[in-house]
Amino acid sequence: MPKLFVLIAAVVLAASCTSVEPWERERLSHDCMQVPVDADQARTEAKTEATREGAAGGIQRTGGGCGCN
Amino acid sequence: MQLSASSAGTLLLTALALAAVCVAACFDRATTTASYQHHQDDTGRISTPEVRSTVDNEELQLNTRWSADVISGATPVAAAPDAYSRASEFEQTRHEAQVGANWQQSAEQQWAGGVTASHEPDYDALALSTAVSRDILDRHATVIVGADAGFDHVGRVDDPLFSRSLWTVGVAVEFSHIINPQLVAHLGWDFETRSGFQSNPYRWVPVYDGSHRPALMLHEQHPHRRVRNAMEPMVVWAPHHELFVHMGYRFYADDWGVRGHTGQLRLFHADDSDRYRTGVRLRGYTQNDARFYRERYDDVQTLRTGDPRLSRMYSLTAGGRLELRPELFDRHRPRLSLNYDATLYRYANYPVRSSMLAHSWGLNLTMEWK
Amino acid sequence: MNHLKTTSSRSVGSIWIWIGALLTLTVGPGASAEVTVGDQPDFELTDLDGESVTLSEHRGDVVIVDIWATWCDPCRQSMPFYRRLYDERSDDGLVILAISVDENQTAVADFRREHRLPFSVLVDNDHKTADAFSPPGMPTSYLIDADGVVRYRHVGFRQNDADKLERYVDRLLDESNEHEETDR
Repeated sequence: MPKLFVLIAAVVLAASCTSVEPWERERLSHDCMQVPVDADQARTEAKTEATREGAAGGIQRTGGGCGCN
Repeated sequence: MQLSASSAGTLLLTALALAAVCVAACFDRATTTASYQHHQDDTGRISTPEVRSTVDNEELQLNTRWSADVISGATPVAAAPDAYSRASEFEQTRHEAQVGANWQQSAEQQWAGGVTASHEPDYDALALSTAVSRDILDRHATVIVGADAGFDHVGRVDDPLFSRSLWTVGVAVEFSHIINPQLVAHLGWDFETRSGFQSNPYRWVPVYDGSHRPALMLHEQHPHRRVRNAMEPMVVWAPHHELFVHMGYRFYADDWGVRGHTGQLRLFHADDSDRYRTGVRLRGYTQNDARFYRERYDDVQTLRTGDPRLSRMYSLTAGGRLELRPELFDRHRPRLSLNYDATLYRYANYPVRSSMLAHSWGLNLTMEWK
Repeated sequence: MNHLKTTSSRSVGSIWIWIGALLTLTVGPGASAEVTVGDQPDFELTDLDGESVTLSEHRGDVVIVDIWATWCDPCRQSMPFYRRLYDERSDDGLVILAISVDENQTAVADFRREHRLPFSVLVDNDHKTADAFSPPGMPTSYLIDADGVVRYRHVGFRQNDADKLERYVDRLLDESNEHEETDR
């Protein structure tokens, strides 16, 4: 696990050396580069996952009762 | 005067629509979405109609949402009834409303906040959330820090005296970094603690005495507290200006002993004219069982569960999405989207079923006014 | 145990190889010197109809060079303002050259048609001109006087910026007209 963190930190460190100019950001600014691409769809998926799986929730937390016990 | 859930929902919907129309007058752009989602598996069906509205100008965005989960436990395909859960006998509706705002404080910093409330006959929930997002490193990276808190009240439809509560507090940190003009890396970490009643109030757990017949049935008993952690590295790559790839992994761990691994791949295609978009996704998920989970309880345990979500299981999901943006009107371009997912669940040590196939599909229509 | 140690050090070694490879891949060339106030830039580009356009051919006119893209929200918001400015002042000698840095040219053509842009929209999809100008943000507009000198540079666009830009344009147009009268 510590190796994974070292690798992630290294990727971030390496990435910080990059310079992406404002006029080079066409693809980066596309809706399909956003995470999630569709927040409402992601919420629906997260809700379904939370009612069927034990590790769901977390980052895309749905909150409240699911009513689907 | 008593207000039925459906009348309350209609009133709320009308109020939200009126508020949206009034507020829209002060903003540059407004969008309204009506959607319908349907989920079906061996345990039941959930139909979810939803209405969302957003208004925004250069600095402020306000959003409202109302949805209803119409839950039906009657299943036309299950071979065996769910012996552990009497909840499946119920048919009920859950209403959820959300109000939120995003404020662009400066070119680099944005704030978001929201309140979500839900109601169903045996469960009420209220959640508050806030987040701040800041661009750093000359706009090559973004850090988002979010926090949320929730209070749930758990009841039972067949016992008006039954009343339990559940508190949830969470913190999330996300870091995104632009690697090059086609690639962004994300890393998210999420921490959540839940304190209170976390069992299913309807679920009975059989305790056996060595024979095939249960000697006694006891209410499910989960721990009072649960601490959850998740970490999610992800990359988003655009190898072509019409093609986008999202690839992520999520590791989850909690103090009930559940460890989960999720891998996900999404591909999107957006055509040059932006008149249609398509997307496919593949998701694989696996988890081990909770420390106190037993396939069969042969003696009385303090902690006991019949929840398949705490068993050893895996799931595979494959789905697709089509979005159409026809040029029907000059300035009010509608968006119509359809989505479908199929998920196969396999349970290694859940005595009620060894597998289950679920289908989810949905339809969304969004209108935009400028 | 020794075996484990060996495996572990190999893994760490391979991580450093990856890091080295990543650094090599990600460190790009540094940005070139940017065009700023006082400079006298030039470029040659083609417009959406395939006609060649140079900045120097507009010497004697007041020119707004706007580096923009359809994917940039403030750029899109600025276009109705530039359209009005052009409609009202093109007879006084104002020229607008909108340099699109879009990779997707269908989107640029659709945008020009949808917003009925009356001025020249130039294509810089290989970013050579953008690299030479190195605008600090999107959009960036350069107000260039009749001598071809950048007199004012404006980064970004908000509705409140319109008045300021309009005042600068009027000042340059007044100067240009005074020059013409003096020359006569």
